[in-house]
Amino acid sequence: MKIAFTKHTLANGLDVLIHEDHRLPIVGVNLWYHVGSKNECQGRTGFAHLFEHLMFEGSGHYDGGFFQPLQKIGAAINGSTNADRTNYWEIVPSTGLELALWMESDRMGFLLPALTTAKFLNQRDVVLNERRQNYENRPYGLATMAIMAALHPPDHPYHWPTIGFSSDIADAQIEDATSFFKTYYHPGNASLALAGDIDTDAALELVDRYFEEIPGGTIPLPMVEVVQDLGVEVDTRLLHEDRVELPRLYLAWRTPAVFTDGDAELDLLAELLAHGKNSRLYRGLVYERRIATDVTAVQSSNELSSIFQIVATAAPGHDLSEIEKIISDELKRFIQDGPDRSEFERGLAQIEANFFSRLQTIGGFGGKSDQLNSYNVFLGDPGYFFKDFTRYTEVTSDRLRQVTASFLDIQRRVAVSVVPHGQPSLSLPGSLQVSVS
Amino acid sequence: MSKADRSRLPYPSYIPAFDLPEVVKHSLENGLRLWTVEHRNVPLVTALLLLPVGSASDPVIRPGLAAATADLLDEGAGGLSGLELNDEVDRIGGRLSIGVNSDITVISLLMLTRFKERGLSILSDLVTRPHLLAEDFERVRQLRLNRLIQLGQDPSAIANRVFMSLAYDEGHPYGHQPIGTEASLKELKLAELASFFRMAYKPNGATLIVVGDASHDDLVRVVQETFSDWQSEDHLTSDAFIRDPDDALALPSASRRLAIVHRKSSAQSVLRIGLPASSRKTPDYHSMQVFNMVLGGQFTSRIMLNLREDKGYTYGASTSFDFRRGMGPFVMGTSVKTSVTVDAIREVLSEFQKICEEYPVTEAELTVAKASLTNGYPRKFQTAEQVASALGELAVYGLSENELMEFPLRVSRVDVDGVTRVARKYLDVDRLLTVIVGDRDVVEPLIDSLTFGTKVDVVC
Repeated sequence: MKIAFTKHTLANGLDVLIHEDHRLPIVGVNLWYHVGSKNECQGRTGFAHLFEHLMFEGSGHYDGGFFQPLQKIGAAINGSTNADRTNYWEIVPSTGLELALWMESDRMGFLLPALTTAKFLNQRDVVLNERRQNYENRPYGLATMAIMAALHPPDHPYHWPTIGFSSDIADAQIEDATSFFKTYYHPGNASLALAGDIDTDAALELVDRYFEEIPGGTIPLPMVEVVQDLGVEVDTRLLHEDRVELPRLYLAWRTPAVFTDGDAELDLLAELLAHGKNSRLYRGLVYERRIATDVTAVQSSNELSSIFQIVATAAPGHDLSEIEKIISDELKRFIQDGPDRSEFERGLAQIEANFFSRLQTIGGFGGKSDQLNSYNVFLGDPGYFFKDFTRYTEVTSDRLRQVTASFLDIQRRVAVSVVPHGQPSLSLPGSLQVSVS
Repeated sequence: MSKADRSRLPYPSYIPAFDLPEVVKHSLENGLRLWTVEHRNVPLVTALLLLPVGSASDPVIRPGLAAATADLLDEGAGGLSGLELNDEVDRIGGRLSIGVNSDITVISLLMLTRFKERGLSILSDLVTRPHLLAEDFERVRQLRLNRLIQLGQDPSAIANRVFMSLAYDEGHPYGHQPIGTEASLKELKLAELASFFRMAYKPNGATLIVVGDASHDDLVRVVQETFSDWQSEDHLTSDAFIRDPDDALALPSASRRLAIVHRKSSAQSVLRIGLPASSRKTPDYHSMQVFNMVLGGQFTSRIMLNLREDKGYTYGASTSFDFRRGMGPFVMGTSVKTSVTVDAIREVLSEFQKICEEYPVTEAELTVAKASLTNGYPRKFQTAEQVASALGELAVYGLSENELMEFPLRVSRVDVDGVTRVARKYLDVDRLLTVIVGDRDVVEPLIDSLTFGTKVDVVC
């Protein structure tokens, strides 16, 4: 169980990871820039993501848009921004590797000459519409923003959403794009992974040809000082009124950062709490008591610190207090007794299948090239796949109990009740109204 | 090492060919079709069981029956209660999914190879010996009613539902969503489910596709051990039970129509514009795919470049033919800022008009669209699930394996005349239905009914 690879670092600092997989005549090209919304500040939120959009609008030596040439060869193309990183990828026929590298290197080296005010203003509108579509016009769509804001103090880089606040997006200026590009978009802050039907030496030669001429830059300072902050220190209850019919409860905690002690444990805990009909919370809330209509749990792992979240929607006629009590009782029981052997085995079988499943695709979100970059950027160890798996297999019952006890403390919890407009009484008792938009 | 030449784009001189995986076909004595594929990448096996009966077979008075029936399968089957069965699925690293669309019911199970015997035995229990108990039924019914409440708050779900209900005549099998309606789910009886189950879940007409890390022989052996006992309980074949959609009932209306679903202070308007178009088995299939790529099927399509990259009205806009056994719809979908709702609709209608008349598909557009469809084809066969689902489409529509193999060739033969012909044939701009889910108070005053068509009432 591994992703075999070779790693080279060019003189300009670009990490290059190559994995051969000859099953199909295709190759995944995956490029990470170690910049995300955590590199923004208040008043400039949403910029990293808006910038990602600009990367698709043409570059110095080909100004016809990023998609056109690559779609001619049948490429799949996308990118995404989160708090920690921005990724870009193409899946192309194996003979199209050179074209993909030409395009990626041109926008890494020569984006600014092609950037115009018209493009900038257009993509600003597009992003505002993306925000309306995915957050403002979506039921419960703003809850996560309330949680992030409550869990992190205002100057913490996870305080604001990656999409940004509307007013900041609307105020974004093209001048900011220039300094942002120079600071973060250079080989020293990037990692390029290729996976697929290619020859390692030949692929490396092509990478050299297109990327070596791009000057390296200074690696931006890591934001270490904020890691010490543990978030709230008192049971925090908030309410948000939305265009919904069924109230929904979000419980969230700050938890250990991705790949650090406690991260895998909490990921496994999420599995035991809410995956499948036998999971503790599904069974307790939905299957047996029928007071909730759905429940999920997730450890969202991030670089500075993570978020553990339990989300449950009330069944008609039931309130969020009933649901909160069952969840809290179940967590207490888990902390006291630990997992039983049966649920532990079930969870590990699911994890094993998930890891194998992750080896099936070469490119795109979550494909092998994306995973190599994730391990490389966050750990400096692209070969971490199997170690990642053993993080789970080595978890003991006691350890799982301890981690749950130390991090899922009610005094460190943020509870957000999303209730129908005009019905604040449906929230958890003592909740304060928050304004999110 | 040569330096980068940035004066020209280094297009590849050829695109490598690839071979589709070998499919071995068998028939069990009970009529079940079995297709196996060796897919030796990771120790996983996926099984996809397709029954040719979906929500189009719901009785007119009982929308939601097929989907509710499928939902009850894993609530207990064979010697296992619902919780026991789901426990077993989890223990084999299983991912079980049960889905119903208008044409089919699909049950799929992805599992670790070493548990394939157990997994296929569970899959067999699900479709041959489900318990269908009253108590589980009541719980599942309530969860589905709750789901309807949730969907009723989601503007995209509202737009899809209203579009389909108005695009098709009342009582047409495609006029309702698989989940059904509140009234129907409340009236639903367990006896109706049981009877639907007996009619719909039969080995003859069903196809089981197993793809994974095992030999053909091994996969066939396991399926024979687990599925041979599956018998039809009566003489009706599934085929006789399928309510084949009547294309005559699916004709687009005689004129343009417009429906507005009011959603006060909506941040955006969700739009659907389209009409009933064609069945999957049309000989025009490949021309239609190429046409769609040019109009709204990819990032560089006309609709996307206009609405997003030129006007900034939206995050995305796309078109698609929803190919089904009967006449499925052609639909454009997007979400736009409320204040530009009417402008966006005008632009869409104008793009439709242009591609049929004054600005038909050009040779250059045709080349990109075709290349995009054919050169990207191999990546759709990476995972066991992808291979199984591509084969599943053949099974559902009764197509031969050649259909997959010949797809690139047949796309490459499409020409501009063919594309313009299908544009005119299927995209009749005078008969379009437009659905707006948004703030009526802002949108309605700007609407000119000569352009947008007769207003129809929507009851939500």
